[in-house]
Amino acid sequence: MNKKETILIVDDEKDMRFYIENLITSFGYNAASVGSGYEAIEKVKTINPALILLDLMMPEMDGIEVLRRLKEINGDIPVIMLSAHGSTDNVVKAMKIGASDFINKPFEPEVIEITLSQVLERKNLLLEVKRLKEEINKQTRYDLIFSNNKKMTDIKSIIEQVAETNITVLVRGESGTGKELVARAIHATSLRRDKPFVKVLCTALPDNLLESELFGYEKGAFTGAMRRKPGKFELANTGSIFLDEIGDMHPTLQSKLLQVLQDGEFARVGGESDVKVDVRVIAATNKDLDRAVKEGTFREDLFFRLNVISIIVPPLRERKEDIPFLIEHFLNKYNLQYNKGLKKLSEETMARFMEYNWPGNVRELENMIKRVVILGNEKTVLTRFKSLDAHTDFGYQNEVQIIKTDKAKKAAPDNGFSLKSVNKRAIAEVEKETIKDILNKTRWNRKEAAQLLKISYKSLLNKIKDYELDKI
Amino acid sequence: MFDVQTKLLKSDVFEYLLDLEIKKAMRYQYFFSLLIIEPDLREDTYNEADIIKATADIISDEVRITDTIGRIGNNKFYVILPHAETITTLTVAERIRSRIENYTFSKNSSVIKNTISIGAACFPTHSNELKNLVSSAAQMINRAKNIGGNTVCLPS
Repeated sequence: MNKKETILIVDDEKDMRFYIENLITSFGYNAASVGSGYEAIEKVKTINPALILLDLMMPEMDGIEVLRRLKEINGDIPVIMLSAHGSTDNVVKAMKIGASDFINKPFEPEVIEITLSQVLERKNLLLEVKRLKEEINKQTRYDLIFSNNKKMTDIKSIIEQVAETNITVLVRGESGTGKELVARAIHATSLRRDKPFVKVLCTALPDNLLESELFGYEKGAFTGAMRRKPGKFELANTGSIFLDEIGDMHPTLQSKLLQVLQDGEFARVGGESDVKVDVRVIAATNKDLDRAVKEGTFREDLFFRLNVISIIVPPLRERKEDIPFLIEHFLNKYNLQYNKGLKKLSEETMARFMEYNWPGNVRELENMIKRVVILGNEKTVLTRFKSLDAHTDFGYQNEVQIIKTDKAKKAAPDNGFSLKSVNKRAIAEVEKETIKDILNKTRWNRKEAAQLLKISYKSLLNKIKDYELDKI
Repeated sequence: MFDVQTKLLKSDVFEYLLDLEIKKAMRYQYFFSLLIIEPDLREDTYNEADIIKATADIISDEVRITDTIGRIGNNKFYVILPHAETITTLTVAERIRSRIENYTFSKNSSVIKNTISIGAACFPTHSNELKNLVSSAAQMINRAKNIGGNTVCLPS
């Protein structure tokens, strides 16, 4: 801890002031002292102390009053009260106003040292928490703002319009377009912003587990239900619930969800009594729900219930003018996170980025920038683009064909006679080249290579060993 | 971190842990409850400090070792009971209340009796948020005291 912090001593007795000042200096802090409450208030405005030691009993303005005024000026500075007259009443009073601790006079020097370091440590922790909270708030606020695209600005105005109502919103768009950000923005601009925002990924769990996740269960509802569990809807009470990938929800669950939307009531799994909740539902899907309704996999009544307001987030390829802003944003974000200093992408990469059609949308862009920042160069990203240009699907199929015919000729017998052994050698030769090639393509990512070769990871490892392949 | 007299957590640490409990309960989906316990001290209670100390000891003895107890202000105790929903909460609170009621606080051969009031609120049944949870429990303890103390109150 940084010990060169200034501590302000407020005491009307000169000797006491002098004594404490010496003590504090000997502990390695800076000390300043004043003899009255008025001076203390003036001093705080100029020196911004890390902590104040305040005598309770002083003429003119007593410690309690000084404390109250100090807290009005700057509530973040911790104050430790000193008193020879430590009556319980005053202790309670001072604590209620916001004193951090209390030291009775006379005191041992160690008491001062320990109390000081404890209070300062706590203060620093609180400041750190405050800073982190602000950072998080800032992040969630800004993520949506950058955009020049008409569709995106439209979305922003819709969000502002619907935020203060309790209307159910359905967010639609391809994977990676930022549906969750839209949902969070709705919650953050709504009157429920200080209440919980609970996210449920409907595809993450099998249907029966999803039901108990959403609605909770009673003790003994099924094997393993040791105690009653509250559902996400209960947890989100008075706040918002975000149901992601709702298009994949099982029809039986859909009907239970419909009931909550209509009545604000549901029963826990295995429960009889209804639980009442007030939850705003924001749902999202990348599925074509209209078609799902026609096909009968999604309940029509639920669809209408959810689809009161529908926000369609456009894919990145339809708002390419946002790409530079997004790149800048993600560069800043990851530079900060990984402590790197990559300020700009090269012209070539930028041009590639603008051309590319981004099937994975903003998430894909974000991951690519993350990779560039971490690796510190754009080579791998560019290589990937190049291979995408040359062949679809990494072009492995074509190349393998060429290798096969080529190598098969070379594997003709020059010292063997049996056709079987020729066969074996030829295959080995071709296999070796193919594996080597694919491994180089995947930058020796063996898992990916095994998938492309359609063999198990383990047999790939064996083959690498057999053919004595080495990373170059 | 610890209160010198009762060896219980001080208010700021307790508040931090309560906030953490809410986050944990939210994430891992479980119930928990908050008790506010206050001795029914009368004007003529002359050995307040002893009663506070003994009450603190009894509370620590009655709850599970995994429960969190804090001393808030001069004479209030806050207790977090993880995984307790309304019925369990009521059972535990009632047990503490009756133990104190039957306890004899004695000093210098004089026999003193004292009672406590308890207000409770359950997460997420009564609230799913720090401020509201504390204020529901606080309302309940006021109600308990208004009807004469020696009572446990839970939001209906």
